[in-house]
Amino acid sequence: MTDLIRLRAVSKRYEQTGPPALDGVDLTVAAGEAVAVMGPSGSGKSTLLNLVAGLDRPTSGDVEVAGTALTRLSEKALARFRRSGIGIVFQFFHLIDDLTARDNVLVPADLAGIGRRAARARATELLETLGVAGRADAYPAQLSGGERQRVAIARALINRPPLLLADEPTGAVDAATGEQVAELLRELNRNGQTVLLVTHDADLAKRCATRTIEVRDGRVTA
Amino acid sequence: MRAVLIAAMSSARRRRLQSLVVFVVVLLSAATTLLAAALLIASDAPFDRAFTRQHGAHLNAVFAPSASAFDDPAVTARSGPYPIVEATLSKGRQQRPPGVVAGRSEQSPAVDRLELTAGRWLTGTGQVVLSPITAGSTWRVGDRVTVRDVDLEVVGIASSVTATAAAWVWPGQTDVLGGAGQQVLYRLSDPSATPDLPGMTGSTRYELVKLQVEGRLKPMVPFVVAFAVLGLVMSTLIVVNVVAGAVVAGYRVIGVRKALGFTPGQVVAAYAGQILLIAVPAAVLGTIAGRLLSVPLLAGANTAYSVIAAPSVPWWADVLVPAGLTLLAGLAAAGPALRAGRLSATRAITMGRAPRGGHGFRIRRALAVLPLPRPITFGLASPFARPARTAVTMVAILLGVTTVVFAAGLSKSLIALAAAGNRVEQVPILVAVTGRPPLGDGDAVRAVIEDQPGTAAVTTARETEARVPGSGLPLSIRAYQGDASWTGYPLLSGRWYAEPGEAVAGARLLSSFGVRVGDELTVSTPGGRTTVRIVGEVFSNGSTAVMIMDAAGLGGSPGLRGFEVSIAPGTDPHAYAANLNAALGETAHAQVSAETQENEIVTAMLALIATLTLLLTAVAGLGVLNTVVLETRERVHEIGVLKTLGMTPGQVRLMVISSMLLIGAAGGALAVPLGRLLHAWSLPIMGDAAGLTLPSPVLAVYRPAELVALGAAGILLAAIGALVPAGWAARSRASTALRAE
Repeated sequence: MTDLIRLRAVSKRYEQTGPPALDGVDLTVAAGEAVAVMGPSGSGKSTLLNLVAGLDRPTSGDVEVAGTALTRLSEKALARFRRSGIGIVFQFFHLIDDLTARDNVLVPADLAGIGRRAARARATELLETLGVAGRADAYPAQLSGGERQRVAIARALINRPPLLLADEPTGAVDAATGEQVAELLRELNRNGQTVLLVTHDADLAKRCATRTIEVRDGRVTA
Repeated sequence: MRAVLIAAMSSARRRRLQSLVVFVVVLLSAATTLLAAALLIASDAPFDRAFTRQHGAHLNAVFAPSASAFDDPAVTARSGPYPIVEATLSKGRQQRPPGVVAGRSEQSPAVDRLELTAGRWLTGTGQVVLSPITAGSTWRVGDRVTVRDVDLEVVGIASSVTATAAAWVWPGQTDVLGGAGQQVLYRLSDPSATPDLPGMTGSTRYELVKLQVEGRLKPMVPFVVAFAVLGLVMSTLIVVNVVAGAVVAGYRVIGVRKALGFTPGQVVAAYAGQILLIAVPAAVLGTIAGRLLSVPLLAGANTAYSVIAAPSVPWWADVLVPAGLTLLAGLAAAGPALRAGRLSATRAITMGRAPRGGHGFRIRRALAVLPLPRPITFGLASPFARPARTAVTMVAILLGVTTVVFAAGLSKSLIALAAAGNRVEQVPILVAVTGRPPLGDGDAVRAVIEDQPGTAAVTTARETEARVPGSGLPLSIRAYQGDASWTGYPLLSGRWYAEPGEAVAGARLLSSFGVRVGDELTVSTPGGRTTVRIVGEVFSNGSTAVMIMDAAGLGGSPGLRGFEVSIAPGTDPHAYAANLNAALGETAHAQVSAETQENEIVTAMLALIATLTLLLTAVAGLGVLNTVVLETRERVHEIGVLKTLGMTPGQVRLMVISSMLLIGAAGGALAVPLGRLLHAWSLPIMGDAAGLTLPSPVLAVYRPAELVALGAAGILLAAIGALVPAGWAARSRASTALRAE
């Protein structure tokens, strides 16, 4: 199996003084894997995810995703990479309030310049797969927490990214919905989707991940 | 109380950029307000104020060189006698029209205290002090000028309110003065009294100078006043808009504070306090900046008004302007804060956080199907999500563009007014006659002008005072020899005169004597009685009643006023005037009419209007910047999300700028008719105030292409206002934006 994510000696400091958020992290994730990153609050989990997503730059070290060295890319190239290279699911969904569920799902496709008809067909397919096709014309405020997260997952997948990043995807939903989200991630991985999951929920990690790593004080400890 | 103070200070510190914008807007508004007030002060009876300050001469009398008795019981003070001569001043090839050169050692005698605008007063022979009119814009202190073949150094530029001389030399400069006459300047117990002065050979009364100065000024004063008032009103509105916008942006924080136990009164106090912390120093600094700026501006205004020594802005303006603006800013903050204070905590948080749905969402969906890049449709749709914020931005743009439209119209009207009065296009050259050798009389001068290469047309202008029998009001008759239909008097109604028994008249004459176009009018002149039919009304910007007719229709020999000359296309007026002056010698003096004093006044006025327009546009631009900054800050989370989804920095910029385009276009589209309406409404009022019927070139100044360009100024203003926040949004890190949530 080829490596989809490769981190080499990655460190990240937000301030000159004080401890680093990440300290010399080496990590590889193979295509098709579902890796859970666990650790307590402030351990560096989200920093790790931001670096893999190209949302932030390491202070030192190399980050490579799907064969692309992110550290060498300009902001514009990073944005283009995010469009099709990764999909992100957030704890608080981060849907755009004044767009319907379908239009939220279509945003990455629109930004990537995918034809309207093809994009709509893909959005419909994803919404149906995720069980929220009936809510396609609803606004986020009209959706339940579970529905919002499904829409967010559909949005993350619309451009068929090789990597799906999930940052505490069940952190803001009730237990039953969390269960559905976990099942969805597991199903996606079974179908070949590489998943990097950041969570402090051991049960979720156990259910969704094929491998679990632990981050403490900015270092990968297990 | 401590909690309120801490809240006010922390809010001001936390929203540093917004605080900076409010600070700069209040500062610029204070400066603009002080300048506008200064302009109002400068335009209020400038001649009378200068006359009082300079102890102006009620009577400027000329005596024979041998005269020695100069007193009369009606005289309360006098200066002189000063030896005088009428002479032409020249510097290289530049020559000034002949004027009085007076020998005078005192700068500030009892009457006619001269005010220096540059250099110093005379200390001996070999020196000359010029009047501002003689100096013009090209002669300066340190230059050398020639008067009657004597080389003199310009040591100063000084002004006499009643223009008693074109230049002053030391009394011992006998090679210049040459004993041609004596000048005595009088203050009279009764300004209208006529003292019995036996040796007097000529005189000028102050009323005549006042009439000339105010006649030139009167049409312009309402323009300046209108602009000053516009400056005051616009500054006020923009401050209210920016401050209110800043408070509306803080609704969420207000809700949080209410949840923590702030009472409505404390909410108002915290917000008013936050604004006052910024507004007080800004208003004080703005007043200081305005005062500093007012020095050159008032000097310009007073040069324009033909008087100098700018009246200083009164001390109470230094108190009133910052106090007024601070109060205004406090009230503007208190209004929306009071509203927010009365809302429930959760409602305030909701209003400050969530965009409004309904139409906004539907419009965004509608725009989403347009075949435009997604960042543009996102940007175009965003104003509909927050109608209140959009309204605040649009008002800022509306005010800014309305100012620009009105100011542009006012400037063009002022230029058109001056052109209509001075007729510089039709009559580019004016020739004044001195009557001296070698040519002697007017006919010989006219022959020289006609023979001059480049002359297209020439007409002899004569002038005489006249009266209408039974009326005490004087009128001036301008009589032309030969065809004068080309001289460019704007015809308001009727037609140009076609034969000696016909005349055209200015509005003041028609109203003063109760006649209309088509009526006959009998006038009494030194040459006898004449009856003429008024066949047309022409624009006249003087303060006297004027009638224009063919000289052949007048009896006697009206005084020669000069010659009006039109030149062939492609002829350089300056070269033409220089060549003509060489041919005319001392008998007459040709001048490019665009360089006459009236046009320098227009230039000075336009500079004032341009300065105020610039300040107001800057204030309006900051108002836009303020609202875009608030809008961008509010959308920082959404921008962060879009960046994680793959929106490039360039697309973020495009989206933020697009979000202002519709507002800018709408603001500009509304501002153009509003500015035009304001112009169309105020111009006739200004004309009435000046006693003028304004010709159509003064009123119809906007061309369709210009209006489109002015309307586009709204988009430009919005785009410029959005540029900086767009850059911030583009550079911001998505991870930071998401953490901000």
